[in-house]
Amino acid sequence: MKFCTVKQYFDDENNNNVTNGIATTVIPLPNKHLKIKANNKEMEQYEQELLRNVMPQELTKLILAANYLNFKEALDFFCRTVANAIQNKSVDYVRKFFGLESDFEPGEEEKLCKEFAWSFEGVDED
Amino acid sequence: MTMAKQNHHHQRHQQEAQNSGKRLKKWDKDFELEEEDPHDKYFEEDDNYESSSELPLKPALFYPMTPTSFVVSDALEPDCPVIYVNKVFESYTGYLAHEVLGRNCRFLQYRDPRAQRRHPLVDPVVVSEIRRCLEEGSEFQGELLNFRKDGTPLVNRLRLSPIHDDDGTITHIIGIQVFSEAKIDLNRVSYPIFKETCNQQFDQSGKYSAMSRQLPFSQHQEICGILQLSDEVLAHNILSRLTPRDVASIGSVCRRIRLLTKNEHLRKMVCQNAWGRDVTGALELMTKKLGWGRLARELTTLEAVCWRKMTVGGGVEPSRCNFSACAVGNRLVLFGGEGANMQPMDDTFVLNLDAANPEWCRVSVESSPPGRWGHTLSCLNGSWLVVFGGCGQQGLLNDVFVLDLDAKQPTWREVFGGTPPLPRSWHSSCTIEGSKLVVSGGCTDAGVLLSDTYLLDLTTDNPTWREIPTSWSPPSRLGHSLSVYGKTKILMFGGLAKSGHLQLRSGEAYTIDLEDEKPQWRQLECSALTGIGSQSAVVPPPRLDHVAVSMPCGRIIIFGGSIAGLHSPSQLFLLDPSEEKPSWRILNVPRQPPKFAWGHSTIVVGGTRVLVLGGHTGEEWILNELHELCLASRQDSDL
Repeated sequence: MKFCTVKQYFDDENNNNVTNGIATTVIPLPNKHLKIKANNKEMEQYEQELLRNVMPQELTKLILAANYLNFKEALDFFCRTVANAIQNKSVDYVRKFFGLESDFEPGEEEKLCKEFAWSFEGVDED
Repeated sequence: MTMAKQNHHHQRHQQEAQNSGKRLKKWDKDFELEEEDPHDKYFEEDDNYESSSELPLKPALFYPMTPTSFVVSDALEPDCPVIYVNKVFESYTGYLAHEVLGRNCRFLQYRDPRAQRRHPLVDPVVVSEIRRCLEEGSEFQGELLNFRKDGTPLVNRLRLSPIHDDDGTITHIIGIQVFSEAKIDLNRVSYPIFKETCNQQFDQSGKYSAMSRQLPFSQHQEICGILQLSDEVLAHNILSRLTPRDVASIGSVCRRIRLLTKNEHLRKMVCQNAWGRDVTGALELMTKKLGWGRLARELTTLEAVCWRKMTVGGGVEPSRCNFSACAVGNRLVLFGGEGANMQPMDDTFVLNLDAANPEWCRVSVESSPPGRWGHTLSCLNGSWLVVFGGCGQQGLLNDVFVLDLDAKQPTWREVFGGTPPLPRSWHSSCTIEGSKLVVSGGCTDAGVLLSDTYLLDLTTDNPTWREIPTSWSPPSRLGHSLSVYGKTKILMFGGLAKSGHLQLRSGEAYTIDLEDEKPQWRQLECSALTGIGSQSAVVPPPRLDHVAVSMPCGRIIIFGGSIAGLHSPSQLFLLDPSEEKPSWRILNVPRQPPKFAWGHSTIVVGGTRVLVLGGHTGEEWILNELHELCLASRQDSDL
């Protein structure tokens, strides 16, 4: 059931959203899931291993791939990892992490900083 | 008084009070005692305990009184097709039964009967929440934009409840809808907040009509990385997992994220994920006035914290001290206590703060537990309360009684839990996840201090007391506090603790996580920072019978109690036990605090209001004067 999209993907000419590299990471996941389904801790470890060396850009692509493939468990897992990675980090860190740029007017951003000054206290060092 | 009797009264002095029959309890001195004689009392297992009918916490299905729109879906068939709609539904939506049977009721989100996907103004965050609740098998309540058959927009205040069969499998889902006029302008062509980024090119199979995916490659260059995701996925999968504070700061990253973080429903989900459903449920009323964003901010910064005074009417007669009190919604409940001549009381009183002129009223119950003082009264889910232990007419108790305050005929019912803990008084209790009673410490008949930890799960059909075995326990004590944080963790603080041959007031903190495979008590090493600015770290002086308040964000406030030396009980201390290096901070609160405050007569209401009974100087029997510690603003106040 999880892979109805995969068939489409292979039929689809336009493969640009999911590169082959990603496909080889994401697709074996459900088999692994089934094998280690009972044991949560093992799965956690497997997941940690998998993501230890993944750069943020890769992680973003993994999320997009999992989303495209309609693969809920993988999407949940990757998003959780991203959420953990950006927890208690500064705004600049988050921008760099996702490769985003601020599209605020200069005055707007200052206003936001003031309004949310309370939320910027005590963030981790970048 | 003999030593034995002293033990029995737990070193309380009786002082001459101005009025006869009323006593001021003072914990004056540290006592020197002989080495205790462990007196092992244990009780035979009660073989013929009856199982309580209606244990507190099975959710009841709400049946509305007036004719309401009503839909039943088959949860066993794929995509939950509608199998029944009533006439009210037909008249509100303009769809006749035969037109909609067999379809999933999401068609209400389409503006046109021929549409393939929901209208962009339908909040995808709410749709995600519905999906999540259905997957979890939990109830959903919320508001959603729907459309009549003729395209007229409606606001649907929706309640979805799963129906289980005997095996516990969900067989049906009942939807109750309250429709009202939607005041929106459908001619707004640009839908700024909830852009539908779904692209029909990918939507080849009807199965994915609800799932939104990424933009095709040609637009990839304009939209960067993670922002290719739809609002729904971004908000539901990533943003909702952040803490309230992170969500506030991340809004400064870029416009799209700013817009997403302004969504009130997302903010609520964030608070729910961070603080737990019980806590956010209790805060629901408060947030109607403030909004989740502002509430999260105020609870983080404590910028709006202040003391207020309040006078209420009615009376608690005969007067008493050493009762126990807690809150059900905005109602304070008081049970038992010690009256004239040390008479244990067994009556129940309630004070409704929502009334125009709140006053204490006796609750007429069909039956009461045996009278007692030095017991604990704790709140469970909904309107349920539980009493444990205390000192009764014939000595110390270890029985458990529960009460549903909202029942037609409220009555206390005993819960027999297998082998109960030793009978005790001045123990401490707390509630985990709204349904598990945890009890620790206290003092036995022989004056022995206890150091055990027991748990009673009231959701099971036959609740059974279970001791939590730990390889090490904090020194035995009475009059300490147990505060729940992080859903399953408990912070123990203070109390009168065993220290060699002595019993001394303690200022130590200990934590345990009940979710661990083998929960262990650990002493919390609180560092003493040299403070910068207004929040300098000073360790709270040792005390017992103090007030400990768990805040939604996981921090704990300590004040009041019986403190050795000249320290003021009205000084507030704040601790975050989940910090890497937890440290105490002083919290300065404007306006007049009470001079004294006691743990058993202080009640937390709605997560943000702390009500201290007992007049200015903490005389517990003066129940018409209350001091209130407000943790967040109240918009109807004159602050």
